Amino acid sequence: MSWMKPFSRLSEKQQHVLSDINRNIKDTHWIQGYAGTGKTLLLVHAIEKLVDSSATPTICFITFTHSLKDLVASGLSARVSTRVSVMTHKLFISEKKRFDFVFLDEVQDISVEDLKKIKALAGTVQVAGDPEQSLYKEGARELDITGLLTPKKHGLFEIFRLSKLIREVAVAILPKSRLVEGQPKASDADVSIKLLKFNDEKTEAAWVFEEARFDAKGDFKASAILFSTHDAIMKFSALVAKHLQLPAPPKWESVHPAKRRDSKVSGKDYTEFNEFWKRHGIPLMYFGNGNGSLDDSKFKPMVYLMTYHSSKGLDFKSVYLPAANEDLYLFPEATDPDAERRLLFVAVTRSRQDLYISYTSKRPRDLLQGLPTGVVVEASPRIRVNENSEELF
Amino acid sequence: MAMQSLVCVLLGEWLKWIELGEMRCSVTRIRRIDPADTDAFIRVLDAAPFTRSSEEDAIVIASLRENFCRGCQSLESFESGEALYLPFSEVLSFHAVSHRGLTLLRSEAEGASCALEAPLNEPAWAQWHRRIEERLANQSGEIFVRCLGLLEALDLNNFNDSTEDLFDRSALSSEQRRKHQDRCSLGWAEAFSLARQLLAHNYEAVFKEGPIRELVESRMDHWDLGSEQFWNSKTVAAVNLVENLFVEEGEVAPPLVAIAIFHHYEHLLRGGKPLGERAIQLLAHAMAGVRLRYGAALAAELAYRIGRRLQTFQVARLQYAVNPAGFPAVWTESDSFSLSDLQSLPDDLDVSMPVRPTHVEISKPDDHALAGHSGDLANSIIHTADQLTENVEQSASEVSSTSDHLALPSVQTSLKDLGSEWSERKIEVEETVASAEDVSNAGMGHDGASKVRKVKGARKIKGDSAVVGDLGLASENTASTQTGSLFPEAGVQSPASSHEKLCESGPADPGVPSLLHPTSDEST
Repeated sequence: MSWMKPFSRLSEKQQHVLSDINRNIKDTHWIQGYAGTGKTLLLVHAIEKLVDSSATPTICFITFTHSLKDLVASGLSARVSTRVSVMTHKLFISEKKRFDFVFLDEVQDISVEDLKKIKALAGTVQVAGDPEQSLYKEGARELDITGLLTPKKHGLFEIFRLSKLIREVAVAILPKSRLVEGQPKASDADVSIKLLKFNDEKTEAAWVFEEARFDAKGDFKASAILFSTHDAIMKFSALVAKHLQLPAPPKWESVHPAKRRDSKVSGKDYTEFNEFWKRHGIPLMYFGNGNGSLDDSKFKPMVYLMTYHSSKGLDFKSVYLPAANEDLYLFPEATDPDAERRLLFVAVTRSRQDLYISYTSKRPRDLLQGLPTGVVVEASPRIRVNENSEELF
Repeated sequence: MAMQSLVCVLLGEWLKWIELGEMRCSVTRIRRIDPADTDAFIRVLDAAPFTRSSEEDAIVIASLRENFCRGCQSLESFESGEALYLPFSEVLSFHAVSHRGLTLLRSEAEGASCALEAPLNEPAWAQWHRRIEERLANQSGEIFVRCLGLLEALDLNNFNDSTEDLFDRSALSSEQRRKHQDRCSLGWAEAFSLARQLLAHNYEAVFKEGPIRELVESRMDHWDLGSEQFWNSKTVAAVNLVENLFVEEGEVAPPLVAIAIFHHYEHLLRGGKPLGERAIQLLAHAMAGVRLRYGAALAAELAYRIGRRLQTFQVARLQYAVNPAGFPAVWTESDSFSLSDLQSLPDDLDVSMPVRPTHVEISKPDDHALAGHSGDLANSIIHTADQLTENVEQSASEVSSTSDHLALPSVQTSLKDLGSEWSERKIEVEETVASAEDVSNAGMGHDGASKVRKVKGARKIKGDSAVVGDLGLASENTASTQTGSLFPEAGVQSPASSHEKLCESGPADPGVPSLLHPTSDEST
């Protein structure tokens, strides 16, 4: 898996943290850091080492989202994967099975109550996550986590994949951030970040979809279009269908709470929705809540529709944030003044290279009005037509 | 600034020092200097054990008490290499090497309850860092050249300025480049775009349609590191077509394939993408073709430029695999990187450079060219015909539109006819080949030559863009046989010299309509 790196290619600091964890594996460690700093990578390395050195410990890797579950599983070596259970925290708690070691990612999103239950089922807990990225109001605070687990903290703040410009955008959104970008790379010159104004939503949807589809045809075969709500996803999808002269796609179905335990998906079921696009040969897929799969993008171009929440922990070469209008719904009811900023921060930092934020209102959402000068501001860009009819170079 | 005793320590050493209360350290690592003196500060950094140079969070500078060596008069009183046990009490302060490092190491410092202070001389760190990066890059370049067996042809002092310009510039606009980013088309788009800019005349039709468009388009939708990208009949045909345009203008053609390879791998490596065993092998194949077509000197230069961009660990593993006997302490997983493997190219592909304009070749087949070489030519023609027959249906649509753009009345053949007629042509080619072989066996004669001319003429009547490329290939085969000594197998023949010969051969026959001449309104 491309996100996994051998030990020799970890940074000195990552190697040092890892050595400390493995030397004192019976103690609880907390790797603090944003997505992209390598905390999940270190947890996986710690598991690999643990399997090598211990007799037969039972090990579970707990993720907060379904999306991350797949990612983590793909990073484990074949030798280790059969020895490690990877599951969401909800499933872990419901199964009530005891493990010698529990590795818990995105600890800040787990409630204190759930954290207690997890601790009770684990011999030793190792955790990763950062309080600055907490997206859920019920998530445990740093003091709660420290009080409950008394971990040794390790801080990773360098996001290796993050370009300087993306960092500037992220810091403009969340000034409190302690984010440090990776070493400046030559590839930073290829970074493209744009704030785009469209006159209407239909044109915006068509442009975003065509660009995302085009980007997905390259190396990584996947682009992501992120939304703050499921309703926004449905609205966008209907406009894309209209653009492609297709009937309206079916809406997601709510999974009945009583059936959730048996269902692969939680909350909203997009099975019909995803089938619709597949049937029409359109590489569009909703990914999150147990719907869709990243595997689909391994062999063919794929455009993923996701919520900001579900995208956490993942990254894509090209990320699109359409409908970033003045009335963009984030966390209107949140008491924490930084909650909205954190959510938007998570969304923009999903991009490894290109980021396109678009809106159709008079102005973009207020949090996006103070972006750095390196961001290109453009109005009504041309919708990509059949590339074969265009000039190639 | 006052003189200070400084020692550069690695992250692990620093934290252990705090934890254990003392650190064993060779006295040679300690320098008494003025921290503002950049050269002296660089020597402090140089004295640290080797680490990845780019990691500001991997090293810190400890400033020691003036009389840390107790009882000793000075550092010089220690014997060189003597171990020194430095108690933590001798440390006055710790400093990050940069402000970025200060931020990155904050949590370690807090965790160890240790104060970490601002850098003493950040410009010195930046200078040292650049120097180390440069050294590593140069070393990687040289190792890679050595792995390819091209070290003897590498002349670092004689890199051509014009070549430097050809490789290092991007001919695409940022929007065009984005279009080809992370696609196999990027290298070709850069190469052809550069060629278009360098040519004196405007050959829009040639660049917009035909084999060039087909080549670029066919590579736009993927980034496949597992398959050959640079040397096959289609790429050679397209490159011949463009390099011949330079020949027609009496100019030296830029080494288009080398430029395409450079941009392809430069982009790949710049994006931090991993280069696996298969990708390295394919790169070696590509380099072998460059050597055959443009000479060993250019191949070595290209390898050096690409090698500089390879990550240190990649070239390190590669050199172990290529030369396991040279590294007895290293165990390599496979021996698949033998030098011969790295240098192999498909046997049936002729990559030599065309040395005469294609249209001259069409109209004036050189009888002598067939003498003694018609067997090779025959095989090549059969191979080319096979490939073109297979691909003709896919390319037919582009063929049709190209014919319009090239404004050739003879290329209005309908799409369907083209497909079926190609099969006939293949038979015709094979017949001709048989005749050519007869000629080869029996000695040269007009009959054989005219049959070859007949085949070429027939293709000209077809007049499609693929045919243009095919003609390029056929003539290229002929031409290469004429000038086999120009690029001996491992020769160090510069492309320029071949062009000098080209220019000597005189301009194109004005009486012959050329497929490659600019269209009416494009002369500049």
